Amino acid sequence: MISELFIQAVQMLAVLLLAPLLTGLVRRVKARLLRRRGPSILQPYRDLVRLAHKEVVLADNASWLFRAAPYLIFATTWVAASLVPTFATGLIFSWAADLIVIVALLGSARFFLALAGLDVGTSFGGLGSSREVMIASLAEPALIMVVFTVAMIAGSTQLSTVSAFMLSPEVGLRVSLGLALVALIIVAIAENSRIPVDNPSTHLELTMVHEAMILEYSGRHLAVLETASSLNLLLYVSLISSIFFPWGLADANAAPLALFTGFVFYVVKLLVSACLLAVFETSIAKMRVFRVPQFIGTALMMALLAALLMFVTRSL
Amino acid sequence: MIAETFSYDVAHMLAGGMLLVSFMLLYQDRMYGLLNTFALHAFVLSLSVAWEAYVNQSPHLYITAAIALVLKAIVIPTALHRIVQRLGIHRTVETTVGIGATMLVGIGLVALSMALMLPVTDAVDPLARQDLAFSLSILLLGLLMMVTRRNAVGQVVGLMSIENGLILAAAGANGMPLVVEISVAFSVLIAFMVIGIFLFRIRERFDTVDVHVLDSFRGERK
Amino acid sequence: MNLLPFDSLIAILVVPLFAAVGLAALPGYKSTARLNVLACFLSLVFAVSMTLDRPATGVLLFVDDLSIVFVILNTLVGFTTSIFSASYIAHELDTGKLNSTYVRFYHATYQVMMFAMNLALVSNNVGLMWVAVEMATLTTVLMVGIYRTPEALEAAWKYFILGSVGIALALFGTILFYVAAVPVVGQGLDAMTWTILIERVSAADPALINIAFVFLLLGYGTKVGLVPVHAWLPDAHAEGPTPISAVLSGLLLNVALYAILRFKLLMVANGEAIAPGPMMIAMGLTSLIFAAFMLYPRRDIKRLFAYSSIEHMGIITFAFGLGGPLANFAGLLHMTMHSLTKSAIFFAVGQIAQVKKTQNIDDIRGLTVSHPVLGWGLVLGVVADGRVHERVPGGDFDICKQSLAGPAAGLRIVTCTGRPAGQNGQYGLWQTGGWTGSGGSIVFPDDPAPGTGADGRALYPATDRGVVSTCRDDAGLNGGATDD
Repeated sequence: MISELFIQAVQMLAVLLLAPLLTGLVRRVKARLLRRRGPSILQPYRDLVRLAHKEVVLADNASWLFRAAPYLIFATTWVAASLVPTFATGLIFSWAADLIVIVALLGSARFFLALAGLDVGTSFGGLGSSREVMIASLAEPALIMVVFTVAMIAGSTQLSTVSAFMLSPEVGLRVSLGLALVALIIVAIAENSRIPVDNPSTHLELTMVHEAMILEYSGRHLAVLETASSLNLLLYVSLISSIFFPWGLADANAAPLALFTGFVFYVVKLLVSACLLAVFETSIAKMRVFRVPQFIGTALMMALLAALLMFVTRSL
Repeated sequence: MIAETFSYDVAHMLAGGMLLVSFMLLYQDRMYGLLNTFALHAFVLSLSVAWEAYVNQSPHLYITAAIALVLKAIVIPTALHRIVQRLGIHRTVETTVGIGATMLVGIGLVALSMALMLPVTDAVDPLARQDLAFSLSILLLGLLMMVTRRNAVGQVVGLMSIENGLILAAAGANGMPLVVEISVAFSVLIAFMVIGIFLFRIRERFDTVDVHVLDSFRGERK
Repeated sequence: MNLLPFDSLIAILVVPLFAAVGLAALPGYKSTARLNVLACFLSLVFAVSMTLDRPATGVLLFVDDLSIVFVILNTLVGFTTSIFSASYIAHELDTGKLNSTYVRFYHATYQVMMFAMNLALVSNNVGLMWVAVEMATLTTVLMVGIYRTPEALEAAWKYFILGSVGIALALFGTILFYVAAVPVVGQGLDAMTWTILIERVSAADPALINIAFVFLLLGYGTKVGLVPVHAWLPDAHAEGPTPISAVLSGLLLNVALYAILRFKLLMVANGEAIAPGPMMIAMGLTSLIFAAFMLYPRRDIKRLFAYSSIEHMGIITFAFGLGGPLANFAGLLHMTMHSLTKSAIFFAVGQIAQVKKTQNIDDIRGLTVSHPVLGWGLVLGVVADGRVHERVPGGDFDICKQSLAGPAAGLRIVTCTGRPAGQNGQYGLWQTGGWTGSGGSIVFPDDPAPGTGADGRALYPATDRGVVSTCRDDAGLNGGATDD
């Protein structure tokens, strides 16, 4: 019991500590690809510490929601990130680690973020919120369809079961899984405000989506929100790797050595995905906002198709 | 269960891939993109038919696969490329309905064809069943494409994607004799000839291959 | 008794093919026209000889009582059209609408088309039948567009697109039929051979062949010109050369209907499949009513007769849909008469169009005065088309009699509701009315007498009364038998 709790706590802390590292890594690789030296990988940690010491500047008409939203967003995202198997399956809270729960938690985080953007009444906040919700209206159905497809293949929505099934030889070669993977990657890009949907390092308000919603935040609120968005990225990476690339995942009751190996595998997966994301972001340009629905619509179509094809296989 | 074997999985992957490329055909809005996607469609078809030939040990299907590959994936797209270049045809392909709506209708059609074909083909082996269901979906998607395109080249590509779906069905129905291969190759040849003649003539007469221009010559007023 | 040293079945296929090759090679117009006529005549001779000496049923080809009728009709109309086309094309050459290369192409394609149609009618393999129908479609597409005017291109393009879609649907239906037959007959050629299928189809899965038949009916129905998949027909008839209109009306529609009939026979042989009859009846009636209404506003003479073809094919489909010996005979008779009279009408119309240099009805006037033979010939043809076949015993009245006998009471109400306003009277009224309304002005000269309009519309009531009285006559003829 104690050891199980301990392992779960290790996972919770690990995701929290690794998240800024992932962000820093992506930035560093992007800079290198653009022939810049780029900031150190640990720079996000320094940024967070700096922000935490700074004074919070609130608008006059900011409500309680404005002050509470960062913590709400952080809490939901952290819980979701802790539930996704990173180095081990079958952790003590894994009974709650249901794909639909994850989707719901992320949805709540997005909800509070959109409200916070609207709260102060600035035009950019409203702009960001409306764009975010437009993207979400297409991305969330796509995500649900991916969940359905995966659940139809694995027979359960619980993440540990799904990972265990994907590790077993029964899974076979499936076009539905390929389609679901591509759809999930597109959704991940959209939800994490990455190029081509949104530029995370832009300073032009008209091109912002996520940044526009957190434009009014400062000090420790901003630190909490930045951590939350890093956690979001880590969550999606862990989700994709635990469903589609589950190799290296240990069982929670295994020996500490197996757990450690699982952890090493996990860090390797993070590194690889950071590099891939950086390469992808560098190689294409940001889309115009009215094209984004087409892009995410593709994900929705692919996810729908994956579910249909899975249905065909099941009926034969 | 037969449906879970490796050979079935590969066939499923290829047929599903063809369906996916049919969807890709639906949202193309540039001429060259359309032709390249059609070449991909024919390529996946030839892979699918070749796999069918390997699994069912029907060597005559290799011929069909080769015909599909050479003629429909290489010769016809390059010829259409040249025609497009030579006639200076307008490079974008207008659609009558928005792409999003078209895609949703497409998904509906696929669901319809699955719902129609799967219950009816109980006595048939799984490979043939899924081939028939997919080919009906591809046929309906090709029809959708013909209906939502305003451009003559787009309509012809839609027609040829319908033919691709039919070749898939014919390959899936085990043991269908060589007659079908002849007919398939034959229809490809003649369609190509007719397309070439007509596109040149249409362009000569109308300076465009937008079929809405053809409407002004519709004889129903007479 | 073998009259000839070789099989006449193969001959009706080989002759057109060789002729096509020859016609593509020969340069002169006169010689190609003569060769065309000769080839068609030889095909006719061989077709007739098949009645005397029925060829054996092969794997790919066979001839039975149904196909004999179609083949002889096919070759006969092909022959008469080739005679007509000889002079027609000469005129087109003179006016410069076609040049000699196109004429060679035209003759060669004509023979290829005859080959394809003959092949479709004698094939035992449903896949081969499909190939032949597709070949016939594609050759006629090429010929419809031969004038290369904008209207001709539009018509040919429409025909090509719609015809190809129809053919594609028909192929899917054929494949489904094969898939349904495989568990019963086994894989390979046997599952596509009609003579084997007709014996064994009762064991096939009815649900699958239901779906197959729907696709086949829609697909081949496009080629027959049934509403709602008829859209190519008026344009193709109006814009192609008139011999091609005659061939389309008189032959190609029949070949497509033959294909539907073959599959209908298979469906009927399987007791659990849905009855194909009601579907055919519905499509036939829709075609009939739709075409009758569309006839009236037409101002182009060939388009007018194209809609008349749709109407006739609707009636024929209706008759075959009813089923039973009497209605089947009526259908075959109607089809034969329609082919003969419609091609005759198109011959006359073709000459008229060349003489008057226009196809517009408003510009064609007073033919019985200026060209009496043409004018009265057209009148005869129209009357024949509209009325004669009804008077023959076993004509359309028998279609109604058939429906009286069976459980088709509802049909009876629709089709034979009271005389003379009944279906035959009405149909005759529509058809003949359509022609007398506009056709009257074509053939009869404008009467300058007061009280009549210059467009001859005053003639309409007179002939209308004549038509109505003939309807009443018909009612008297068949007095008691058709009383409800």
